[in-house]
Amino acid sequence: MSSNPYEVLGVPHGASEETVRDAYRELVKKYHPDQFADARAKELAEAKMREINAAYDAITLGNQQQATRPGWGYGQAASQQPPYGSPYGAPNQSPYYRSRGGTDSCCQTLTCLCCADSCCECMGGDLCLCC
Amino acid sequence: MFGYVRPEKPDLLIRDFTVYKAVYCGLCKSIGRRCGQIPRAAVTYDMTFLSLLLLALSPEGVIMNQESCVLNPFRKKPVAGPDPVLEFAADLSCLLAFYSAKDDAADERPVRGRIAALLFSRPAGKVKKRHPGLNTWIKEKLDRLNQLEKGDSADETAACFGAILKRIFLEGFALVQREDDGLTALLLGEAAEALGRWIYLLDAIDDLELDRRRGNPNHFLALPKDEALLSAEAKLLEEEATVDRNLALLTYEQWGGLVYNIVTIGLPATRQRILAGERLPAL
Repeated sequence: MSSNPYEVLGVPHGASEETVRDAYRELVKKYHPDQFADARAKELAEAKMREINAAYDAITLGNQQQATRPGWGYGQAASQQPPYGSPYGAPNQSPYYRSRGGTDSCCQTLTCLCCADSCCECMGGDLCLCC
Repeated sequence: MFGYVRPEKPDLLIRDFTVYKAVYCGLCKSIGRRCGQIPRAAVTYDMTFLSLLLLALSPEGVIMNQESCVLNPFRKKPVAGPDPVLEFAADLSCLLAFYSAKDDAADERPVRGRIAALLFSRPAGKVKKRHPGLNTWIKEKLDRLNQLEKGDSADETAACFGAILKRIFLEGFALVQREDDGLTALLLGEAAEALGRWIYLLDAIDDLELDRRRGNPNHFLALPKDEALLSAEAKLLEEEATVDRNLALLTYEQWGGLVYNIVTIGLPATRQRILAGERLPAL
Protein backbone atom coordinates (compact mmCIF):
# COMPACT_ATOMS: atom_id res chain seq x y z
CA MET A 1 0.00 0.00 0.00
CA SER A 2 1.09 3.51 -0.71
CA SER A 3 2.23 5.66 2.17
CA ASN A 4 1.80 8.95 0.34
CA PRO A 5 -1.48 10.47 1.61
CA TYR A 6 -2.16 12.20 -1.71
CA GLU A 7 -1.90 8.89 -3.55
CA VAL A 8 -4.17 7.17 -1.05
CA LEU A 9 -6.88 9.77 -1.69
CA GLY A 10 -6.10 9.90 -5.40
CA VAL A 11 -5.64 13.67 -5.54
CA PRO A 12 -2.69 15.65 -6.93
CA HIS A 13 -0.12 17.16 -4.58
CA GLY A 14 -1.21 20.57 -3.37
CA ALA A 15 -4.87 19.93 -4.28
CA SER A 16 -7.31 22.41 -2.76
CA GLU A 17 -8.99 21.56 0.54
CA GLU A 18 -12.27 21.17 -1.29
CA THR A 19 -10.88 18.60 -3.73
CA VAL A 20 -9.31 16.64 -0.89
CA ARG A 21 -12.56 16.74 1.09
CA ASP A 22 -14.62 15.60 -1.92
CA ALA A 23 -12.22 12.74 -2.66
CA TYR A 24 -12.27 11.73 1.01
CA ARG A 25 -16.08 11.68 1.15
CA GLU A 26 -16.27 9.66 -2.03
CA LEU A 27 -13.87 7.04 -0.64
CA VAL A 28 -15.62 6.88 2.72
CA LYS A 29 -18.89 6.23 0.91
CA LYS A 30 -17.30 3.48 -1.17
CA TYR A 31 -15.43 1.67 1.59
CA HIS A 32 -17.95 2.02 4.39
CA PRO A 33 -17.64 -1.34 6.21
CA ASP A 34 -21.41 -1.61 6.79
CA GLN A 35 -21.91 -2.22 3.09
CA PHE A 36 -20.10 -5.54 3.23
CA ALA A 37 -21.92 -8.59 4.55
CA ASP A 38 -18.88 -10.86 4.91
CA ALA A 39 -16.79 -10.45 8.05
CA ARG A 40 -13.44 -10.67 6.22
CA ALA A 41 -14.53 -8.12 3.63
CA LYS A 42 -15.69 -5.87 6.46
CA GLU A 43 -12.28 -6.16 8.09
CA LEU A 44 -10.54 -5.32 4.82
CA ALA A 45 -12.81 -2.31 4.34
CA GLU A 46 -12.07 -1.18 7.90
CA ALA A 47 -8.32 -1.37 7.25
CA LYS A 48 -8.83 0.66 4.08
CA MET A 49 -10.90 3.20 6.03
CA ARG A 50 -8.14 3.57 8.61
CA GLU A 51 -5.68 4.23 5.82
CA ILE A 52 -7.98 6.79 4.19
CA ASN A 53 -8.66 8.54 7.51
CA ALA A 54 -4.94 8.69 8.28
CA ALA A 55 -4.22 10.13 4.84
CA TYR A 56 -6.97 12.74 5.20
CA ASP A 57 -5.73 13.73 8.64
CA ALA A 58 -2.16 13.95 7.37
CA ILE A 59 -3.15 16.25 4.52
CA THR A 60 -5.50 18.53 6.47
CA LEU A 61 -3.10 18.75 9.41
CA GLY A 62 -0.26 19.49 7.00
CA ASN A 63 -2.29 22.25 5.35
CA GLN A 64 -2.97 23.89 8.72
CA GLN A 65 0.72 23.84 9.60
CA GLN A 66 1.54 25.29 6.23
CA ALA A 67 -0.96 28.10 6.72
CA THR A 68 0.67 29.18 10.01
CA ARG A 69 4.18 28.94 8.57
CA PRO A 70 5.52 32.18 7.04
CA GLY A 71 6.82 30.53 3.87
CA TRP A 72 8.94 27.77 2.39
CA GLY A 73 12.16 27.85 4.42
CA TYR A 74 15.43 27.05 2.72
CA GLY A 75 16.13 24.23 5.18
CA GLN A 76 12.95 22.26 4.54
CA ALA A 77 12.77 22.73 0.81
CA ALA A 78 15.23 19.99 -0.04
CA SER A 79 13.62 17.29 2.08
CA GLN A 80 10.00 18.05 1.27
CA GLN A 81 7.93 17.50 -1.82
CA PRO A 82 7.45 20.63 -3.89
CA PRO A 83 3.92 22.00 -3.45
CA TYR A 84 2.86 21.19 -7.02
CA GLY A 85 4.20 17.62 -7.15
CA SER A 86 4.73 15.55 -10.25
CA PRO A 87 1.66 15.22 -12.45
CA TYR A 88 2.81 11.79 -13.65
CA GLY A 89 2.81 10.16 -10.24
CA ALA A 90 5.35 7.74 -8.87
CA PRO A 91 6.21 4.91 -11.30
CA ASN A 92 4.98 2.02 -9.18
CA GLN A 93 2.34 3.49 -6.92
CA SER A 94 -0.74 1.41 -6.18
CA PRO A 95 -2.69 2.71 -9.11
CA TYR A 96 -6.27 1.73 -8.38
CA TYR A 97 -7.10 5.27 -7.38
CA ARG A 98 -5.69 7.92 -9.60
CA SER A 99 -6.09 11.63 -9.67
CA ARG A 100 -8.65 13.16 -11.90
CA GLY A 101 -7.42 16.74 -11.52
CA GLY A 102 -8.94 19.42 -9.26
CA THR A 103 -9.41 23.12 -8.86
CA ASP A 104 -6.28 25.14 -8.34
CA SER A 105 -6.04 27.02 -5.07
CA CYS A 106 -3.67 29.56 -6.67
CA CYS A 107 -6.38 30.49 -9.16
CA GLN A 108 -8.85 31.02 -6.33
CA THR A 109 -6.45 33.31 -4.45
CA LEU A 110 -5.82 35.46 -7.53
CA THR A 111 -9.55 35.75 -8.19
CA CYS A 112 -10.11 36.91 -4.60
CA LEU A 113 -7.31 39.48 -4.93
CA CYS A 114 -8.77 40.75 -8.21
CA CYS A 115 -12.25 41.14 -6.69
CA ALA A 116 -10.89 42.88 -3.60
CA ASP A 117 -8.85 45.26 -5.75
CA SER A 118 -11.88 46.18 -7.89
CA CYS A 119 -13.89 46.75 -4.75
CA CYS A 120 -11.20 49.05 -3.26
CA GLU A 121 -11.00 51.04 -6.48
CA CYS A 122 -14.76 51.54 -6.49
CA MET A 123 -14.48 52.94 -2.96
CA GLY A 124 -11.83 55.36 -4.24
CA GLY A 125 -8.80 53.60 -2.79
CA ASP A 126 -6.26 51.08 -4.03
CA LEU A 127 -5.66 47.61 -2.61
CA CYS A 128 -1.97 47.77 -3.39
CA LEU A 129 -1.60 51.04 -1.43
CA CYS A 130 -3.80 49.73 1.41
CA CYS A 131 -1.52 46.74 1.97
CA MET B 1 -21.77 -10.72 -25.31
CA PHE B 2 -22.46 -7.06 -25.79
CA GLY B 3 -19.40 -4.82 -25.59
CA TYR B 4 -20.65 -2.51 -22.83
CA VAL B 5 -17.76 -3.03 -20.42
CA ARG B 6 -15.09 -0.82 -21.95
CA PRO B 7 -12.52 1.72 -20.86
CA GLU B 8 -13.07 5.45 -21.17
CA LYS B 9 -10.32 6.29 -23.62
CA PRO B 10 -9.82 10.02 -22.90
CA ASP B 11 -9.08 9.17 -19.26
CA LEU B 12 -6.66 6.32 -20.02
CA LEU B 13 -2.92 6.58 -19.68
CA ILE B 14 -1.13 5.62 -22.90
CA ARG B 15 0.63 2.74 -21.13
CA ASP B 16 -2.72 1.39 -19.89
CA PHE B 17 -4.20 1.69 -23.35
CA THR B 18 -1.25 -0.26 -24.76
CA VAL B 19 -1.91 -3.02 -22.22
CA TYR B 20 -5.61 -3.00 -23.07
CA LYS B 21 -4.90 -3.37 -26.76
CA ALA B 22 -2.36 -6.11 -26.07
CA VAL B 23 -4.93 -8.11 -24.08
CA TYR B 24 -7.56 -7.52 -26.76
CA CYS B 25 -5.20 -8.76 -29.48
CA GLY B 26 -4.06 -11.62 -27.25
CA LEU B 27 -7.66 -12.75 -26.77
CA CYS B 28 -8.35 -12.52 -30.51
CA LYS B 29 -5.25 -14.58 -31.30
CA SER B 30 -6.13 -17.12 -28.59
CA ILE B 31 -9.56 -17.57 -30.17
CA GLY B 32 -7.74 -18.17 -33.47
CA ARG B 33 -5.50 -20.82 -31.91
CA ARG B 34 -8.23 -22.57 -29.91
CA CYS B 35 -11.28 -22.34 -32.13
CA GLY B 36 -10.20 -21.40 -35.65
CA GLN B 37 -10.00 -18.20 -37.65
CA ILE B 38 -13.69 -17.43 -38.22
CA PRO B 39 -14.67 -17.26 -34.52
CA ARG B 40 -12.07 -14.50 -34.07
CA ALA B 41 -14.92 -12.19 -35.05
CA ALA B 42 -16.41 -13.03 -31.63
CA VAL B 43 -13.78 -11.07 -29.68
CA THR B 44 -15.57 -8.57 -27.40
CA TYR B 45 -14.70 -5.81 -24.94
CA ASP B 46 -16.53 -7.69 -22.18
CA MET B 47 -14.38 -10.78 -22.55
CA THR B 48 -11.30 -8.56 -22.80
CA PHE B 49 -12.31 -7.14 -19.42
CA LEU B 50 -12.71 -10.66 -17.99
CA SER B 51 -9.22 -11.58 -19.20
CA LEU B 52 -7.50 -8.44 -18.04
CA LEU B 53 -9.19 -8.43 -14.64
CA LEU B 54 -8.06 -12.02 -14.03
CA LEU B 55 -4.57 -11.29 -15.35
CA ALA B 56 -4.41 -8.18 -13.14
CA LEU B 57 -5.01 -10.47 -10.14
CA SER B 58 -2.56 -13.08 -11.35
CA PRO B 59 0.75 -13.17 -9.44
CA GLU B 60 2.53 -14.68 -12.45
CA GLY B 61 1.47 -11.91 -14.81
CA VAL B 62 1.41 -12.55 -18.53
CA ILE B 63 3.98 -12.75 -21.32
CA MET B 64 3.92 -9.92 -23.87
CA ASN B 65 5.30 -10.53 -27.38
CA GLN B 66 5.67 -8.30 -30.42
CA GLU B 67 3.51 -9.86 -33.11
CA SER B 68 1.87 -8.83 -36.33
CA CYS B 69 -1.71 -9.57 -37.30
CA VAL B 70 -3.71 -10.38 -40.46
CA LEU B 71 -5.35 -6.97 -40.26
CA ASN B 72 -2.01 -5.20 -39.98
CA PRO B 73 0.64 -7.61 -41.30
CA PHE B 74 3.60 -5.21 -41.53
CA ARG B 75 3.59 -3.62 -38.13
CA LYS B 76 4.33 -5.62 -35.01
CA LYS B 77 2.42 -4.74 -31.85
CA PRO B 78 2.50 -5.99 -28.26
CA VAL B 79 0.23 -9.01 -27.87
CA ALA B 80 -0.48 -10.80 -24.58
CA GLY B 81 -0.19 -14.54 -24.17
CA PRO B 82 -0.38 -17.44 -24.77
CA ASP B 83 -1.88 -17.81 -21.32
CA PRO B 84 -4.43 -20.16 -19.69
CA VAL B 85 -6.66 -17.20 -18.75
CA LEU B 86 -6.76 -15.94 -22.34
CA GLU B 87 -7.47 -19.46 -23.56
CA PHE B 88 -10.34 -19.81 -21.11
CA ALA B 89 -11.74 -16.42 -22.19
CA ALA B 90 -11.29 -17.43 -25.83
CA ASP B 91 -13.29 -20.64 -25.34
CA LEU B 92 -16.02 -18.77 -23.53
CA SER B 93 -16.16 -16.04 -26.21
CA CYS B 94 -16.73 -18.67 -28.84
CA LEU B 95 -19.32 -20.58 -26.82
CA LEU B 96 -21.32 -17.48 -25.86
CA ALA B 97 -21.20 -16.16 -29.43
CA PHE B 98 -22.68 -19.48 -30.57
CA TYR B 99 -25.52 -19.36 -28.05
CA SER B 100 -26.16 -15.71 -28.81
CA ALA B 101 -26.34 -16.49 -32.55
CA LYS B 102 -28.80 -19.30 -31.88
CA ASP B 103 -30.87 -16.94 -29.77
CA ASP B 104 -30.85 -14.38 -32.61
CA ALA B 105 -31.89 -17.05 -35.09
CA ALA B 106 -34.85 -17.95 -32.89
CA ASP B 107 -36.39 -14.49 -32.77
CA GLU B 108 -34.55 -11.23 -33.44
CA ARG B 109 -32.53 -11.69 -36.64
CA PRO B 110 -33.44 -14.99 -38.30
CA VAL B 111 -31.13 -14.84 -41.35
CA ARG B 112 -28.04 -13.34 -39.72
CA GLY B 113 -28.49 -15.50 -36.64
CA ARG B 114 -28.74 -18.71 -38.63
CA ILE B 115 -25.62 -17.97 -40.67
CA ALA B 116 -23.65 -17.10 -37.53
CA ALA B 117 -24.93 -20.19 -35.69
CA LEU B 118 -23.83 -22.32 -38.61
CA LEU B 119 -20.34 -20.79 -38.66
CA PHE B 120 -19.93 -21.13 -34.89
CA SER B 121 -21.39 -24.59 -34.43
CA ARG B 122 -18.17 -26.54 -35.15
CA PRO B 123 -15.80 -24.43 -33.03
CA ALA B 124 -18.42 -24.28 -30.26
CA GLY B 125 -18.56 -28.06 -30.40
CA LYS B 126 -14.82 -28.21 -29.64
CA VAL B 127 -15.31 -25.89 -26.66
CA LYS B 128 -18.21 -28.00 -25.37
CA LYS B 129 -15.90 -31.02 -25.32
CA ARG B 130 -13.25 -29.09 -23.41
CA HIS B 131 -15.65 -27.73 -20.77
CA PRO B 132 -18.54 -30.21 -20.64
CA GLY B 133 -19.75 -29.34 -17.14
CA LEU B 134 -19.61 -25.59 -17.62
CA ASN B 135 -21.31 -25.84 -21.00
CA THR B 136 -24.26 -27.85 -19.68
CA TRP B 137 -24.65 -25.44 -16.78
CA ILE B 138 -24.53 -22.35 -19.01
CA LYS B 139 -27.01 -23.89 -21.43
CA GLU B 140 -29.46 -24.63 -18.63
CA LYS B 141 -29.12 -21.09 -17.29
CA LEU B 142 -29.61 -19.56 -20.74
CA ASP B 143 -32.76 -21.64 -21.27
CA ARG B 144 -34.02 -20.42 -17.91
CA LEU B 145 -33.13 -16.86 -18.96
CA ASN B 146 -35.21 -17.22 -22.11
CA GLN B 147 -38.19 -18.37 -20.04
CA LEU B 148 -37.76 -15.55 -17.55
CA GLU B 149 -37.56 -13.00 -20.37
CA LYS B 150 -41.14 -13.79 -21.25
CA GLY B 151 -42.20 -13.38 -17.61
CA ASP B 152 -42.56 -10.05 -15.86
CA SER B 153 -39.62 -9.68 -13.49
CA ALA B 154 -36.67 -7.77 -14.95
CA ASP B 155 -34.71 -8.23 -11.73
CA GLU B 156 -35.06 -12.00 -11.72
CA THR B 157 -33.93 -12.24 -15.35
CA ALA B 158 -30.99 -9.94 -14.71
CA ALA B 159 -30.07 -12.05 -11.66
CA CYS B 160 -30.00 -15.14 -13.86
CA PHE B 161 -27.51 -13.50 -16.20
CA GLY B 162 -25.56 -12.31 -13.15
CA ALA B 163 -25.29 -15.93 -11.98
CA ILE B 164 -23.85 -16.97 -15.36
CA LEU B 165 -21.22 -14.26 -15.23
CA LYS B 166 -20.35 -15.11 -11.62
CA ARG B 167 -19.65 -18.73 -12.47
CA ILE B 168 -17.54 -17.72 -15.49
CA PHE B 169 -15.46 -15.25 -13.46
CA LEU B 170 -14.93 -17.72 -10.65
CA GLU B 171 -13.92 -20.56 -12.99
CA GLY B 172 -11.46 -18.13 -14.57
CA PHE B 173 -10.18 -17.04 -11.17
CA ALA B 174 -9.44 -20.67 -10.27
CA LEU B 175 -6.82 -20.57 -13.05
CA VAL B 176 -4.87 -17.69 -11.52
CA GLN B 177 -5.12 -18.08 -7.75
CA ARG B 178 -2.02 -19.49 -6.14
CA GLU B 179 -3.58 -20.80 -2.96
CA ASP B 180 -7.24 -20.89 -2.03
CA ASP B 181 -8.15 -17.23 -1.72
CA GLY B 182 -11.72 -17.25 -0.43
CA LEU B 183 -12.05 -13.54 0.20
CA THR B 184 -10.96 -12.48 -3.30
CA ALA B 185 -13.24 -15.12 -4.80
CA LEU B 186 -16.13 -13.81 -2.71
CA LEU B 187 -15.59 -10.17 -3.69
CA LEU B 188 -14.96 -11.09 -7.31
CA GLY B 189 -18.10 -13.25 -7.40
CA GLU B 190 -20.27 -10.48 -6.01
CA ALA B 191 -18.80 -7.97 -8.46
CA ALA B 192 -19.33 -10.36 -11.39
CA GLU B 193 -22.93 -10.97 -10.36
CA ALA B 194 -23.64 -7.24 -10.21
CA LEU B 195 -21.81 -6.71 -13.50
CA GLY B 196 -23.96 -9.39 -15.13
CA ARG B 197 -27.14 -7.71 -13.90
CA TRP B 198 -25.79 -4.35 -15.11
CA ILE B 199 -25.03 -5.70 -18.59
CA TYR B 200 -28.44 -7.35 -18.86
CA LEU B 201 -30.37 -4.24 -17.78
CA LEU B 202 -28.32 -1.95 -20.00
CA ASP B 203 -28.86 -4.25 -22.97
CA ALA B 204 -32.61 -4.27 -22.31
CA ILE B 205 -32.67 -0.44 -22.33
CA ASP B 206 -30.45 -0.29 -25.41
CA ASP B 207 -32.80 -2.63 -27.32
CA LEU B 208 -35.97 -0.96 -26.06
CA GLU B 209 -36.98 0.74 -29.33
CA LEU B 210 -36.00 -2.24 -31.46
CA ASP B 211 -37.99 -4.62 -29.27
CA ARG B 212 -40.99 -2.25 -29.35
CA ARG B 213 -40.96 -2.29 -33.15
CA ARG B 214 -40.44 -6.01 -33.53
CA GLY B 215 -42.64 -7.09 -30.67
CA ASN B 216 -39.84 -8.92 -28.84
CA PRO B 217 -40.16 -9.44 -25.10
CA ASN B 218 -38.62 -6.64 -23.02
CA HIS B 219 -39.53 -5.94 -19.39
CA PHE B 220 -39.20 -2.20 -19.78
CA LEU B 221 -41.88 -2.09 -22.50
CA ALA B 222 -44.52 -2.26 -19.78
CA LEU B 223 -43.57 1.25 -18.63
CA PRO B 224 -43.68 4.55 -20.54
CA LYS B 225 -40.25 5.42 -21.92
CA ASP B 226 -39.35 8.11 -19.35
CA GLU B 227 -40.28 5.92 -16.43
CA ALA B 228 -38.46 2.95 -17.94
CA LEU B 229 -35.27 5.02 -18.26
CA LEU B 230 -35.56 6.33 -14.71
CA SER B 231 -36.19 2.92 -13.21
CA ALA B 232 -33.33 1.41 -15.19
CA GLU B 233 -30.98 4.22 -14.19
CA ALA B 234 -31.64 3.69 -10.50
CA LYS B 235 -30.92 -0.04 -10.83
CA LEU B 236 -27.83 0.51 -12.98
CA LEU B 237 -26.39 2.99 -10.46
CA GLU B 238 -26.84 0.46 -7.68
CA GLU B 239 -25.13 -2.30 -9.67
CA GLU B 240 -22.26 0.01 -10.62
CA ALA B 241 -21.71 0.86 -6.95
CA THR B 242 -21.65 -2.84 -6.04
CA VAL B 243 -19.13 -3.68 -8.77
CA ASP B 244 -16.95 -0.72 -7.84
CA ARG B 245 -17.09 -1.39 -4.10
CA ASN B 246 -16.10 -5.03 -4.43
CA LEU B 247 -13.39 -4.63 -7.06
CA ALA B 248 -11.89 -1.66 -5.21
CA LEU B 249 -11.15 -3.91 -2.20
CA LEU B 250 -9.11 -6.39 -4.23
CA THR B 251 -5.33 -6.30 -4.32
CA TYR B 252 -4.07 -6.05 -7.88
CA GLU B 253 -0.71 -7.46 -8.91
CA GLN B 254 -0.65 -5.18 -11.96
CA TRP B 255 -2.87 -2.97 -14.13
CA GLY B 256 -4.95 -1.61 -11.23
CA GLY B 257 -5.22 1.75 -13.01
CA LEU B 258 -6.73 0.11 -16.06
CA VAL B 259 -9.28 -1.81 -13.99
CA TYR B 260 -10.09 1.44 -12.18
CA ASN B 261 -10.64 3.22 -15.50
CA ILE B 262 -13.03 0.57 -16.81
CA VAL B 263 -14.99 0.12 -13.60
CA THR B 264 -15.14 3.58 -12.08
CA ILE B 265 -15.12 5.76 -15.20
CA GLY B 266 -16.05 3.42 -18.08
CA LEU B 267 -19.23 1.86 -16.65
CA PRO B 268 -20.93 5.18 -15.71
CA ALA B 269 -19.88 6.75 -19.03
CA THR B 270 -21.35 3.85 -21.02
CA ARG B 271 -24.53 3.94 -18.95
CA GLN B 272 -24.96 7.68 -19.58
CA ARG B 273 -24.43 7.25 -23.33
CA ILE B 274 -26.91 4.38 -23.64
CA LEU B 275 -29.56 6.17 -21.57
CA ALA B 276 -29.10 9.29 -23.71
CA GLY B 277 -29.50 7.14 -26.82
CA GLU B 278 -25.97 7.91 -28.08
CA ARG B 279 -23.71 5.53 -29.93
CA LEU B 280 -20.73 4.14 -28.03
CA PRO B 281 -17.48 5.61 -29.34
CA ALA B 282 -14.91 3.38 -31.04
CA LEU B 283 -11.75 2.68 -29.06
